[in-house]
Amino acid sequence: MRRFIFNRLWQTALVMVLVSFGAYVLIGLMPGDPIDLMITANPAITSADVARLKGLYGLDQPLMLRWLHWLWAAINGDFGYSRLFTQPVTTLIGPALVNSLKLMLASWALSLAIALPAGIYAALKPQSFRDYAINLAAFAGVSIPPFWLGLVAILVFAVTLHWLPAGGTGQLDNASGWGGLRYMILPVATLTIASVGSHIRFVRGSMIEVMRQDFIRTARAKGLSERGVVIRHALRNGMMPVVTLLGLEFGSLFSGALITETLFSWPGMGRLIYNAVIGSDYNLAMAGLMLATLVTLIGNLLADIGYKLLDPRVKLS
Amino acid sequence: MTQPRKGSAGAHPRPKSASPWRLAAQRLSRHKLAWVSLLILVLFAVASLCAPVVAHFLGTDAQAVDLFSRYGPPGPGHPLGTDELGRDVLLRLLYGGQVSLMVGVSSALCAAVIGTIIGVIAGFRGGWIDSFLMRFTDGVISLPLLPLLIVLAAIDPGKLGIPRDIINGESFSLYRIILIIALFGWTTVARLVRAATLALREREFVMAARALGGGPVRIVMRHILPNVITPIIIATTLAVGNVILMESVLSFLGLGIQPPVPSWGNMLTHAQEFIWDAPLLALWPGLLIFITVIAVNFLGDGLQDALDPRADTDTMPETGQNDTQAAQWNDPRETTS
Amino acid sequence: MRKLIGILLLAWVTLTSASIAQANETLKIGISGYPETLHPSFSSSAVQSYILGFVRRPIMVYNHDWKIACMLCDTVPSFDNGLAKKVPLADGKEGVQLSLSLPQNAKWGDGVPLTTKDVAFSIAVGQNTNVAVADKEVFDRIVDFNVVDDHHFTVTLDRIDYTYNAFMGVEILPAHLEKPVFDQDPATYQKRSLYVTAPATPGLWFGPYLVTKVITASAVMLEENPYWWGKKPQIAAIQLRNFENTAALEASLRAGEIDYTPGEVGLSLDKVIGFEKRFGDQYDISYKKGLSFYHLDVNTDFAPLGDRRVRQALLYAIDRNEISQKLFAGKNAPTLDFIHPDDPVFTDDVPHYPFNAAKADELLNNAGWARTGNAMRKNAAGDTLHFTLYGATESSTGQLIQQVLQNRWKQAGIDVDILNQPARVLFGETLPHRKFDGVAMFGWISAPEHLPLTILKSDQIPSAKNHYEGQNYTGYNNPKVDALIDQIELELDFNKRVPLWHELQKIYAADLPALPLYHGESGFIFPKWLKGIRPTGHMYPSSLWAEQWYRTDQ
Repeated sequence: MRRFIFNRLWQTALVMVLVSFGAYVLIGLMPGDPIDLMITANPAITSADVARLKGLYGLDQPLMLRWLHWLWAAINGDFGYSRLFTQPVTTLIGPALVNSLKLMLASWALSLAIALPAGIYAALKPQSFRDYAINLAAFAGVSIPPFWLGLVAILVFAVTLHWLPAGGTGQLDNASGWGGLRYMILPVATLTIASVGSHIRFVRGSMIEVMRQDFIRTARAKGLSERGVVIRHALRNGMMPVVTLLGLEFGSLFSGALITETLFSWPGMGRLIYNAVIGSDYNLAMAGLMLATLVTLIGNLLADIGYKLLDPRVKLS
Repeated sequence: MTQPRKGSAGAHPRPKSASPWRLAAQRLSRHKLAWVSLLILVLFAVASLCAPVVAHFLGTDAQAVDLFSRYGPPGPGHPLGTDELGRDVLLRLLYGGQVSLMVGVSSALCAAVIGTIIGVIAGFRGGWIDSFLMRFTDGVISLPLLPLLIVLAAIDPGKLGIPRDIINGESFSLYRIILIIALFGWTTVARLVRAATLALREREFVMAARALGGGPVRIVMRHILPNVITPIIIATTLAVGNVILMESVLSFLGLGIQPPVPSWGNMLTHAQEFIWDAPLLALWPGLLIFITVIAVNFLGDGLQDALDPRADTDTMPETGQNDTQAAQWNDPRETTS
Repeated sequence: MRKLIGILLLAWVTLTSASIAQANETLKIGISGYPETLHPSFSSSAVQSYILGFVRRPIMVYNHDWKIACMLCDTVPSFDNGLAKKVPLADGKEGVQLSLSLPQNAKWGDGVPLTTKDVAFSIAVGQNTNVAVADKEVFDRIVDFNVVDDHHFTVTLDRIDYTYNAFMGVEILPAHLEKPVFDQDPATYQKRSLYVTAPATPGLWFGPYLVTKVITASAVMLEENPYWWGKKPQIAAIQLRNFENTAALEASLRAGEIDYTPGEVGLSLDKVIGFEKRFGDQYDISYKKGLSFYHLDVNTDFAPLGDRRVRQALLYAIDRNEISQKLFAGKNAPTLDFIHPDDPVFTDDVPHYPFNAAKADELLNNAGWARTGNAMRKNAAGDTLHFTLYGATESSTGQLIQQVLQNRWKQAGIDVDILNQPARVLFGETLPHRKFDGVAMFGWISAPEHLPLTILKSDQIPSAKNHYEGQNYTGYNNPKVDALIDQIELELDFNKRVPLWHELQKIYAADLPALPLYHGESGFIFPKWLKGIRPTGHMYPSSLWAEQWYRTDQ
């Protein structure tokens, strides 16, 4: 087990380094040259200044070297300065991350709380009426364009019924407790509707798969009640792919939900990364992308470990 | 040549003897929803292709601006009314359908081709090539999708040396979308194909073909590909729906198909700007996206049931740490919320 | 369980009503956009000016009558009142010395008096070569600065032009807070300034309001400034919330979560017009004509558009009146050139270009772009008349207009592609590098009788040589115009200046380096109870008079 984790760790580190290089190259292809942007801000600049600035920012060096500089600084916790918000990148990411996590964790938990029972329930009687109904609902959820859903939610619950706020985090009104939670309801619901369908389908699929296995037949033959079979044998095995899925999705918690955040004026990571990319804010975009990638990779790693732990066939040595 | 062990669709080298396909058709026929979905999709496709005929019949074209009839109600000249610039909504929906379906199908096909090539090479060659390709696939899967799509959509193609007049062309944004979605969408197919190839490689008929001195390309073309086609078809079908949704999301972010070329995604995006003045404008493209995506999903689901009854779980062997993922057809990542 | 739900419901209701009660004391303003920085010297954008208007004041502004007025000074200097005088400069030229005085009771938000020390510090910051302030030219023109006492100072400017007495662009910074930060290392001051690291510090501000809370990119919270020396504001607190999606902004307005959206940085005109149609009876909606000039900059170095006849034909081929009538309910009327019709130097004695397809056809034929049937026009070499129409992705109104223009031009046999880029790319790269192969649509807002020096003079064509300085993106090069601009700048007598302005407009309207579309109007959506807001129509926003705002429901 230790060796497995060690192996996966260095693989993760390698992927991370490669991805950071790829992202660095891509971001270098975004329109605009950082020095040009500085020049437009300062008309009195001379060509000597331009050369000096290029040297200062390392732009006279080859791409590879610049990337290594960036990597070294990043490893030392220095992600540079956001050109767009004129603040250190790290101070910008903190609050955005907290906001995104709030939203994403809530919708994640809610979505799983719906998907697990619904998926299992559907899987127990495939092709039955209830299976069709649950499937239909699941497909409907994943097939709605998310911004359309969010807008309709705002129209109905905020504008027409005045039940819930149309946007914002409530931070400004110092809303706390329930007052603060009110602001989360619509965005969380929108996110949940968009994601619960694929969760249900996934849980259902992996449960059906398990219920077909020989050991379930054996368990049934032993005379266990259907309930006992499901709870004692099927669930444990059926949950393994679900763990993998959660691992994969872990990263999305940190890259935020751009569409929902934009519609509900929720200042999270999705909007931050988007604004950075659109605004050619190289440092911020790199930091945001790398954070999201790192967390996804860690999620995968955890999922693999969790998978090994859950899988009865894998011995822990 | 040996018969495949099980009579399922996947395993016969030459599907000339129609029995597995007939079986599949029978299975599919049980899925009424899948048939209805297929019918709807064909209908949409045909209707979209008929756009020029409809245009001729209505005596207008999809880009003809008429500021004197903005937000026009449905009427004889404009069966679904007119949009914010007085253009015919029906026509734009039809042309938008052409674009959206085209983007969906071509992106999914491109992704399938990339995925198949990578999957076959990994599964057939094995060894370090396999582990390298699969780690690469893992790496791509672990990338945050939407942010990267945004980066790719935002980069300046001029810096890649693409000439200006191509970039500024009307359909450049179309090809761009197809390409960038395909660049990230191939992983599911690659995993499925690799797993199936790995299993097939050891089958008797492939071994026999090898023993008879068949070159690798020939073996892949004649024996492997026909047998991995089912998972590819299913994954590709399901991907079409995702791509259509993704195009609408990129349009919402201003990175999709550029006006005046209509797509359902950018029509919906523009309509939400005017949702207060003309809510119906948002209804039509939204509804079409919804119906198309849900139909694609039902069709994919039905196909999966019909073509791949999952009885042969042994085509999904334990070969790597992450291979449980190979059992799923849909990319599980939440990318578009 | 039922009990628990009951308690939760109760808590909900009380908390909801609490937040409503609190909301009543706060004016909530919805804006679209967020400034790069709250530091007044390092950037200037409409949204930044709007926010800063509440919390600080420029030395001088243009007032509601489009006249120069003092805000942080007692009297506008002039040669007549003796507060301005001509002085010889070291290089032998003639400069102007202005005597200015700060209000006696002016204080920063922490009670520290605002004095000439602060002015001296602000000028030192702006003139430091290691600091990249947004408007360096203002500081370059200051050749001398003298403190008379705590409230009086003189400043000498390097030339006497017709706006000699408008001492604008120097933003006052608090020396007692910022000087230590600045002295530490001027080169990194921009990153370490308290405006960046601690914007809620009261001593940074001196308007009727103070910044009390900042949530970067989403909101700014303002509260009454206890040390404000002017008229006491009627509204205790103001919340400014940024919306990145206009449909969401409109929804929040309808849902009552924001009270007001200003024309300067709120909903675009077409949205306000649509809003008025639906809810006009529940709100007070007003429109203000403004000095924002929307036009199409033509890249005159792009071969087909280098021909003046083609540019004129482009303008004849579009129906700007139709756009105004149909998209803007008659507002945003077509304009003749860059001078606003309400500007005292305006003249309508210039070439007009009403929609005229025949005229466009004739001009294009003369220019060698012939048409057979319904095909696109071609020249003798067989090239199609084709160009790209650029715009900003952010402007949905712009995209509507683009499609109308494209359609009209197609009818005239001109093949046009639309390409929209994020504003940052358009203004940071495409325009300054003059990479546009066609025309670019955008607007700029200016002050009254503003000299378009950086836009029309030939030495303002951005290039690598001048580090992309200047905004003459069109590449317009006309020695006559260069000379006229110099003449206007140095002519102090208004009556002698007017004919020069008229001459400039005539040449501009004939040459058409840019195709004028309209002077933009902006729409304000007020709740019925909010009064006292007076839109200005120029670059100095209504928030600069925020202490006049009041509500009638309390």
